[in-house]
Amino acid sequence: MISHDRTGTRPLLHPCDNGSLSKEIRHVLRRPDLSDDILRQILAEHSFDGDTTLSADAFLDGKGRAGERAGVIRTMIVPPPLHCLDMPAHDLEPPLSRRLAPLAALWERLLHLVRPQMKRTPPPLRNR
Amino acid sequence: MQLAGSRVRSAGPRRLAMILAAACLTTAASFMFATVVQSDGFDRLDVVRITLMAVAAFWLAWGGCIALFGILFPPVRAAAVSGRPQGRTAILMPIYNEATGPVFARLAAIMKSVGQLPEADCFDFFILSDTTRPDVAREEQSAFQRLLIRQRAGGRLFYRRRERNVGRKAGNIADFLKTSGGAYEYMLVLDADSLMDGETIVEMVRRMEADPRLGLLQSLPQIIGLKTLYGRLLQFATSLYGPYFARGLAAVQGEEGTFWGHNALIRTRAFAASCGMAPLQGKPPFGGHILSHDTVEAALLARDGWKVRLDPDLTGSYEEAPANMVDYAKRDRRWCQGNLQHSRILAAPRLKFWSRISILQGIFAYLASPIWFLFLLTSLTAPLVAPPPEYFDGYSPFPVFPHPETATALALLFGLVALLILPKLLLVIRTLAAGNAKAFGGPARLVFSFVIEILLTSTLAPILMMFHCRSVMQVVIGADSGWPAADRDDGSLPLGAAISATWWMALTGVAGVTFSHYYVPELFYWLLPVALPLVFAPLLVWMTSSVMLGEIGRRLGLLAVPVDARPVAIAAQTHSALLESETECTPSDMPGQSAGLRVGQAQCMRPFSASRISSASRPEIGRRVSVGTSPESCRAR
Repeated sequence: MISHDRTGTRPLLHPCDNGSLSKEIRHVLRRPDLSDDILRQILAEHSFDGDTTLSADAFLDGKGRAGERAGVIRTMIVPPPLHCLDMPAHDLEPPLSRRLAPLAALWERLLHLVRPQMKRTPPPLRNR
Repeated sequence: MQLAGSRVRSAGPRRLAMILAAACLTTAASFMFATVVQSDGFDRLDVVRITLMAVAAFWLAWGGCIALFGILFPPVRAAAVSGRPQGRTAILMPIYNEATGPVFARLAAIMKSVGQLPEADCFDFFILSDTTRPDVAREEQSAFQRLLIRQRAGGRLFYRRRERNVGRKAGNIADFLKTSGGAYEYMLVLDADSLMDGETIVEMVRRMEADPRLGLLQSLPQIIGLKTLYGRLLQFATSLYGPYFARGLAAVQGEEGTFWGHNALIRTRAFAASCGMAPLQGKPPFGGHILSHDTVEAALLARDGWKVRLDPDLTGSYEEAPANMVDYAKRDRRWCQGNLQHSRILAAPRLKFWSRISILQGIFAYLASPIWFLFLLTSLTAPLVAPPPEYFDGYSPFPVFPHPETATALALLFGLVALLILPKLLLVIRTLAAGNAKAFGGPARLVFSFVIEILLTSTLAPILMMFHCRSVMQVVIGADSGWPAADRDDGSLPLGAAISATWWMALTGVAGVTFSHYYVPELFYWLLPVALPLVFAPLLVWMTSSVMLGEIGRRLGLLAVPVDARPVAIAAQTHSALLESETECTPSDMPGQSAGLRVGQAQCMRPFSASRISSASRPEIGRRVSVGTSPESCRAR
C-alpha cells in the first residue's frame, strides 16, 4: 500500500469548478498533466490555513494579485508526476544451464557450420 | 590535469601496475615470514600461518597502493556542459524511521540552496518514506506539510510512504522509478544524513549531460558534524587522507567506478533498465533481497556499458557518520552482512572484471579481520606444536644451531608497519609541501594530529578487528547482533553501554595475555599491543565517545579539519531550518491543549536535538537552541 500525501485538514464545502482556475494552477505548477478531477480533489482537500495572504473564498473567487495567487497555489499538495519506467529484475545467480546456454548455442552453431565439411565416407574407403 | 577521455586508456595499465605492486609486496612479506617461521622447523601450521599472512599482507598492500596512486595521479578534470541543464532531476531522500526534525531540516537546506540558483526549476524533491512506525509517519507528514508551505514548494516537493518496505532502500528507489521515474532524466540519491550544496548538484548534472554514456556520478561526501573524540578522529582522517584515497580509487577504477548508495547522480532510464535485482534464492543472511545494493548496482550499470565514475574533485557533498565506536560497529554489522552476501553474486554473468574486483574488495573489507585474528591464534599456538631443535642432524659430527632470523623478522615488522603508516605520512608531507597545513591547524598541529591519529587508530584497531570478527561470525551463523540501546543525541556513550558492548573483548584480551604468559612467554610482549587495547576496550570505547575530549581537542586545535575554521554554509542553513521548524511548535500544537490534535503535531514532543545537525558552523546558534525554541521549552509552555 503506497500513500502519496495529500492530506488536507479543512475540506472546502464548495470546490471550484472554474476551468480558468485549473489552467492557472497547471500553469503556475508547470504541471499540464494534472487533470481537472485531480485539481478539484486538491482544492477540496487543500487547507488555506497555511497561507495568510489570501483567504479561501477570495482565492476561489479569483481575487488577489498574480503573485499572491501563485503563492497560494504553491502551498498546494499535488501528486507527483506519473511516468512509469520498466525495471526488469535481473537474475544475478542463474542456474548453470542458463549460464552455459550461450556456450551451448555457440557450440551448436559451430557444429552446424562444420557439419557440411564433415565427410560421410567410411574411413576404410577414404584411406583407399 | 588530465582530460576525462583518457580515463579508458589509462585505467588498464594502472590496474595492472597496482596488482603487480601489491603482488610483489605480498610475495616479499610472505617470503620473509616463511623464512622466519621455518627457523624452528616447518610443519602444517606454518603453511596455514604463511597463507593467512599472505592474504592479510595483500590487503594491506592493496590499501597502501590506493593511497600511493592517489598521490601519483593527478585529479581528472571532468567535462561539463555550460548553461542550463536540459533534463529534469529528482532529488530523492529515502527515509526509514529517522528523527524527523533533522531530516527535514537537511532537506530544507538543500532546497534553499538549490532554490537560490537560476536552474532551480529543473529540480523536484521527493521524500520517499519507508517508515514503519505510525507515530514517526505522522510526524513526517506534518513536517512535509510545514516545509511545503514554508518553501512554497507545491508541485516541487512530494512525499510518498510505503507501508511495507519491500526490498528496503533499493526497493524504495525502484518504487519511485516504477511510478514517477520516467518524468526525470536524472535522480540524485541522498541518505537521511546527506547534505549537498545546490551548486554541486547543478555541476553534477552538467557533467552528466556532457557525457551521454555516463550512467552514475558519485561525489566524495565529507564527514561533518561530529563532536566526540572518535568523531573528530574520523573527520580528520577523511578530510586529510580521504580525498587522496578517493583519487587513487578513481585512478584505478576508471569507468567501472564505485557507488556508495548516496550523494550520487544517476541516469534514471539507465538505472531502471540495468539495476533491477531479483532476490537471491534461499533465506537471509545470504539469500533474499540484496542488502548492500549500491556496489551491485554500479556493477550492473557497468555491465550494460554505462560509465560509473567517482569524481573526487566535487566539493560541497557532506554526510554525517557514527560518532562513537559502538554506533560505528552497528553500522558495520549491517554492511558486513550485505558485503558477505555479495559472495553469491561474485560470479554473476557478464560483470566486468573490475566490478568483480570491487565486490571482492568489499567482501575482504570484513574478512580481513577474521584472517588477522586467525593469524594471531595460529601464531600463539605454533610454538606449542613446534618440534624441539635438532642439533645433530646425523650428517655432521658437530652440532648445527638454528639460524637466527631476527633481522628478517624485524624487517618484516617494519615493512608491515610502513605499509600502514607510510601512505599517511606521505599525504601529510604532501599537505605540508603544498602549503595546505593551515586548514588543519598549521604545520605543527597537523604533525601532532597525525601522530595522535596514528596512535589512536593503532590502539583502536584491535577493538575494530574484534567487532568485525563478531559481525562475520554472526552473519555466518545467522545470529542477531543484540546491541545495547544507548543512543544519545550528542553521540556520547554511557560507561554501562560501553561495557555492555565490549566486555567479551576484555575477557578475550585477559585470556590472551594469561595464555601467552604461561604457555608462550616468548610472545608475551609481542602480544601486548593487541591484547592490552582489548583488555581496556570498555574504557577506550567510552573515552573516545566523549564530547568533552573532542571539545578539548578542538580548542587545542588538534585533529583540526578545514570546516573548523571555515564553516559549511549548508550546515548552518540546516541548523537554521531546524530552529525554524522548532519555532513552529506553538502551544496550541501541544496534545491535550487542543481537542483536535492534528496529525504530526506530536512533532513537538519528539526529542530531536539540534546537536544531531552539523555543529561545524554554529557556535552561537548552538546556544540559542536552549533558550526557548527547543522542543523541551515547547513542552514546558
